[in-house]
Amino acid sequence: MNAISVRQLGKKFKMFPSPGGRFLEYLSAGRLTRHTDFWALQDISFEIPAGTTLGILGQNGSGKSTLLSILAGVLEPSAGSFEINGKVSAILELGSGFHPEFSGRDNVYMYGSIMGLSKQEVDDRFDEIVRFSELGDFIDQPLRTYSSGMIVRLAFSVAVNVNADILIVDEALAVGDAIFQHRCFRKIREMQEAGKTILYVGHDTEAVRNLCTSALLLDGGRIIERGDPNTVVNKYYALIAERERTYSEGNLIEHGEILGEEYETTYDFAQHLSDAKIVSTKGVPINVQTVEIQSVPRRVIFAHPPSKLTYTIPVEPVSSLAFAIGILPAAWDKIPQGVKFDIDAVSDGATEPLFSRVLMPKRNIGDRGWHNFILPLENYSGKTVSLVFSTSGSGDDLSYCWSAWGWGKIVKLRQSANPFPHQNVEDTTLNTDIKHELPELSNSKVRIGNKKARITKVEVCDIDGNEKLTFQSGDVVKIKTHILFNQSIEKNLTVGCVIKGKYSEIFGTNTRWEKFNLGSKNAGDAITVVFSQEVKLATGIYSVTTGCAIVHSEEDVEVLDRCYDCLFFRVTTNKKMVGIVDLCPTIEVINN
Amino acid sequence: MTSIFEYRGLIWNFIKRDISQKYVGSLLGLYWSVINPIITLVVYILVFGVFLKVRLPGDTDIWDFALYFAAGFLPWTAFQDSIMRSARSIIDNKNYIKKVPFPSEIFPIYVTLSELVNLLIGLVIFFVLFLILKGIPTVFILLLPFAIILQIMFTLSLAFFLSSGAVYFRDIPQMLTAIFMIWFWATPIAYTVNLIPEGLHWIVTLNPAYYMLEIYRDALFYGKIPDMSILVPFVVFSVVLFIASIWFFKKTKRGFGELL
Repeated sequence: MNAISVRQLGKKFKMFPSPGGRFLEYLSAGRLTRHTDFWALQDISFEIPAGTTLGILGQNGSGKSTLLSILAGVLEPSAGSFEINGKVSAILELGSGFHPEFSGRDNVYMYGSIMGLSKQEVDDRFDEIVRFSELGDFIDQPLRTYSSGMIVRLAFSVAVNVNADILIVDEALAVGDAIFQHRCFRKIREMQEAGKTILYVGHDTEAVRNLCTSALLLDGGRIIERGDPNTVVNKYYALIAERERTYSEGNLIEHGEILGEEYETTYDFAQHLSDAKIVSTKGVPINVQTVEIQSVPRRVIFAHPPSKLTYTIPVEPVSSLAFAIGILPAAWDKIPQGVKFDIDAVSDGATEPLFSRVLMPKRNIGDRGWHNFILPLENYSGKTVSLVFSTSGSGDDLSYCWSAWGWGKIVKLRQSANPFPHQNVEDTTLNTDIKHELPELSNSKVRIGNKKARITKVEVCDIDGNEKLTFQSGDVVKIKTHILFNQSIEKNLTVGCVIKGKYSEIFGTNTRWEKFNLGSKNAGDAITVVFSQEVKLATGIYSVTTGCAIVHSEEDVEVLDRCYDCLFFRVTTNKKMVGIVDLCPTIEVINN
Repeated sequence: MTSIFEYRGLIWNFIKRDISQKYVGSLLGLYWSVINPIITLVVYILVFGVFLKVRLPGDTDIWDFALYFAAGFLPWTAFQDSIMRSARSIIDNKNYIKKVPFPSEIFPIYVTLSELVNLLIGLVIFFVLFLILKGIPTVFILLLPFAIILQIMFTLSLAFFLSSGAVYFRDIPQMLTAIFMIWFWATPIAYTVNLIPEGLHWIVTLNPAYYMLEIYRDALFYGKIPDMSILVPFVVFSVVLFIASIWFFKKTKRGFGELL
């Protein structure tokens, strides 16, 4: 027998351009059409045999919530049908169906009566509900005084104690603390053993792997994979990786010359936005925002066209104007005609065009992303110049057009340009396979330091010194940090390295703590520091952070160069375990 | 309708909470729901009774007009307040309806029932006034529960229509302020029906609120059995409207999850 069977289910939402549109349709009794259809779910069919557990995975917006709402009876399906055999208890979103002004006790009775329990039946279960939720005396306080953890505890306790045949759990559980989550999962297992049917919906792939008999993957409102949990979870990861790749291609590419270290900044336009004269006819604010490009946050000035920004500044000799232009991906489709970016220079009463370019990202793929430019300002050397940055456009709806001036600066060539070849840590060491799984990590690829020394390359190698990014748990991993010294360092030179997991730092140390003296270095010296260690770690992806510094004392650290999460490696193991580190226990039994 | 019985505990819970929030929580709340109607009564009686010299037909006593006005005005106020509040009841409680299969009909029901407190306060004010001016009421006061039941039915019907309609057309609650203003002046409350020009009498005969208030005034003020030409049409109308409103609510509540 099937506890839930769903046949060709579909849900269509009507999207109206304005609230008036809906009313117009009512009035005309359907003769006028103002809406466009949006299918949140299409052709969904599956069955959950009684006593089994189905996991539904999917990204945000894949249709999970819509499906649950239909099964819970909140939304009506637009197509197909579904059948539920047995009583359903649902934990949908945090404390939904609870009244903030009622006490926990009142809410328990209220939820009970929605679930069709009599007062007597709730009475019988009440003590168990309170005990499981660990609310104690709080049960008589109004719900608005509860923390979100307390609400989810109460919601879960009630849901599992109303003696339903089918339990629907969504990611609301993630709100509880670790102990409570643990208890929830144990309770879910108990219910599985008692022959209950469970529908688990969320992003937690581990829960799906561990709890579910079978799984579905939803994407764009359709089922794109079904079968055993492992297959579905892998497909889910592949889907995320694909999304990330297309996103990066869309938003994060840069064109044109990227400023090297040989330049120094003398004036930052984003920093001095308050000094600029701003003309914006649309009433849309011109503001500085941070955009992540290749995961590095950078400051851009959003200027919805038509807009005009005027900076009046003195120009020093041998200065150049460096900036980028770009339009955010969300606006591409809205402005088929593109946006025109102009820079004019006004000095001694004469206006001269410095720069003019139209970006049409919808038509020309080459116009997507960010475009860097460097314009020499030698004609204005020693003068005070008004630089006018203007954007103009003729798209249909310019309110969508997030065009921006990126990282605009006045720069000068450094007196002592860096004589060493410019090498990029990012370019040399990232394995593309692993890059696909980066969303798993809180990746903040940031680089700091005063560059008296530079990390020119970081490598992860196996025991034989060959570059490699996947390891078995217990393998030796060598982390090689190549450092080039731009200045001579007398003493206290320290090189360190940290390995981070998904949630925490696993291990980090440095040459100072390991009592390893690096001695003194001269400008132009190059060294490679190798940290070798056994990675007795759980399956997962780990990041490497390396850095070099002059540690005058534990409190006074002068960072020369530090690369956060500069590369990633993967550890796999067949051994079953929980946690992050394999402590390689030995087991003995002593019979008394 | 079965659901009302099934969820009586839940409805009772909501009513208790609603009343205690309004009256028990703050002493001032109760105070104002007595003071406000009294002030309004005094102002109207001053303007219409004293300045404009409105009197009942064949009667020169200003106090008779005052009681006539109070017998219509106090039920009207309760009626208006509960409609205004219950029209918002579904959209205000969307958090439940969107997330769990909540029996949404209990929202207009509990608001309507808990607003009955206002009606009771109004009736108490009336009886105090009546005792002072006229003494002990006649036996026809026993008609009062009947009038109240009719009012609940009429109020609930409109509450079902408007609260559900407001989900589909959010401007309904705002429109009600103006509608009730017009409705109030189109109904003989502050004036008597004979002051309306002959040609416009049809407006009153089409106005259900007029019938409802006539029954109140017969029970409270005139002390007589209501005219059959008043009673029969209004009872039939209320029952039909009530059934229609339940049907309408059932039909439209399927869209709540999507539109809220």
